[in-house]
Amino acid sequence: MAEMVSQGDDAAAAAAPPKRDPIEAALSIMRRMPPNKIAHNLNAICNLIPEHADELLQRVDQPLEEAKCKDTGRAYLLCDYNRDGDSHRSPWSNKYDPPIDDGFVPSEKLRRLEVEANTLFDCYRELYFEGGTSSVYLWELDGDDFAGCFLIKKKVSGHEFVTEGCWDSIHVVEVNLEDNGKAANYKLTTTVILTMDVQKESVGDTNLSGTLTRTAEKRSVIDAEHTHMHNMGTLIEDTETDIRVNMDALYIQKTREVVNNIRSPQTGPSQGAAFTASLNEAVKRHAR
Amino acid sequence: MAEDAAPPELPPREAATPPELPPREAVESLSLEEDVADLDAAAADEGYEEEAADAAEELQEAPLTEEEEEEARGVAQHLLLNAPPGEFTELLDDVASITPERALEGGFVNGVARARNAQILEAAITEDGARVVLCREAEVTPTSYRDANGKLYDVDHATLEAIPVEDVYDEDAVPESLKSARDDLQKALAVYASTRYLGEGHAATFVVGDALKCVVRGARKNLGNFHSGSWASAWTLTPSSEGYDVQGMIQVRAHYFEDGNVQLYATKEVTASTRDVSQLIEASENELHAGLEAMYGDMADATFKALRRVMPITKLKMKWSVDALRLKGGLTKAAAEAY
Repeated sequence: MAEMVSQGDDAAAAAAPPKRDPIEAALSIMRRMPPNKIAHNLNAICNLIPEHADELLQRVDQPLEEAKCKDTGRAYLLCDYNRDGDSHRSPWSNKYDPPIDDGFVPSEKLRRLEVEANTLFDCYRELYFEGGTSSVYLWELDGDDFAGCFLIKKKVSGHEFVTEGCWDSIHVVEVNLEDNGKAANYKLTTTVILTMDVQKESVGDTNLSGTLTRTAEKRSVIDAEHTHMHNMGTLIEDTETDIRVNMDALYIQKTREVVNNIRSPQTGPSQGAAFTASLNEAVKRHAR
Repeated sequence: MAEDAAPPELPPREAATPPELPPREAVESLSLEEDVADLDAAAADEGYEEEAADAAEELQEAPLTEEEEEEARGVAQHLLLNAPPGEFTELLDDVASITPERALEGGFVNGVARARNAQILEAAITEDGARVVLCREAEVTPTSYRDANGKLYDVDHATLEAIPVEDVYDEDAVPESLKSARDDLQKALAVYASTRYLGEGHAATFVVGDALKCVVRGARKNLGNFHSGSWASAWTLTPSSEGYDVQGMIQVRAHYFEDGNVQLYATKEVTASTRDVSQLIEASENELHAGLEAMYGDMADATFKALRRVMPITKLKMKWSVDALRLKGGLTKAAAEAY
């Protein structure tokens, strides 16, 4: 089936002027689709261009799914970085569910760092989110370089101001060692996906949702104080706080500005309108 | 009133029958099948089937099977039906880049644009700046619309261009009482829309059967500055001993997408009885607007805090060291047990 679709594309391309890069077009479409339906719309686009599905799924972050670790009973988050085939690795037990024999696991040394990272990130989550679930997955790159994926999902429901809400943080950090391992360069890409449903008499049925991606980079020495975890953690903490502030103060408030530039929120002019209307009415009655 | 007196709810069969627009749930729903089902009706309207048959004859070998073409059209339609206000053509460019060309041919795009326009109460505009609301009540044929004065326009659903035509909508059979009620309401709403709305403020009132229908809308887009939005409401007014039984739906959309994608989508239904319809509409929209303002006001202090704080309660940033946290009792219980 995938083959036939690509044949169709070839035939169309031969007859028509060259189309835009499909990945670029797909990403552009996603920027216009409602951010509270990312998974569904991404899936739909992947059905249209199955030959680009893998790349698209890598480039577009989706809301995270949650599972329960069979060994420890603790919740963990699923993503491409802890997936092998149809199984996912728990950060708490290092085991795959459903079990597989030769699933990828980090080296012993990196796993020690991963365990520490999960402990610290769990504390970080409690500090800033006061709830939710976190998971960290690490994997080796060339030499002693490595990369990590730091995930948080926080849901709220029945809150005074949010009927249903969800925050997903996806931090992917790449660590390249320099100076024979005395320093490292940290490259971070962070995506936050947010959705809030508000159901109230005054606002009817309202949804506010958004997705923001930011990159950040820093170089740091590595010593007793500036451990990998300190260096990665502070970079993640600052970037996530930055996005959190922007999301609220800039992006959400911008949608308010858009609305208020269409319809004036002040009641002044409206009283004027009613008054003018009643005058018009009076004039008309008089004319009759 | 005579059976054939009022503008019929649905145009007669032999006229190009507009497909029954899917209810809001269906359009917003995630089911592609429903999209496809509606699409077939829209496509048939535009003579799609004949054209598709011609095209198939020309192209000895169809590159896509019927099923694949249908699936591609279903996805394209789903995406296009989610176009933010004022962004249909931009979205269409991107959708066309990933959809087999044949799937978008034969009036398909106009059919989908028409459904989307009716759903978000979009307006077409003439060279002179006159606006024509593309709601179902204004539709005479799928490409011909009337304004509140019964003037007729040919419209292009994808580009939102309207061209005035000579004909006037035949209202001879509409009772004078309804016409004058319509004209009074239209005047009051036009004043309301032009004073309270800052962008494209516009109202249109129609007689449909024994009832009045009206739309109030405004929109604003500045895609160069990465935003668009619309505020629109549609109302059905059935005469009663109390004046009118009113059923309304207000929908508000905003999209801001500079280095990101943030959207507001608010809908509110209103059911009431009143003698003063324009006053009711204004009061209902004020109430929703005040509610949205309050929601935005609570955002920074309360709502966001429930998801992620800007600073921890301690006002201290994280100590990224297990030993340091252990000393201060900062390890979570689960972390302390697991580590």
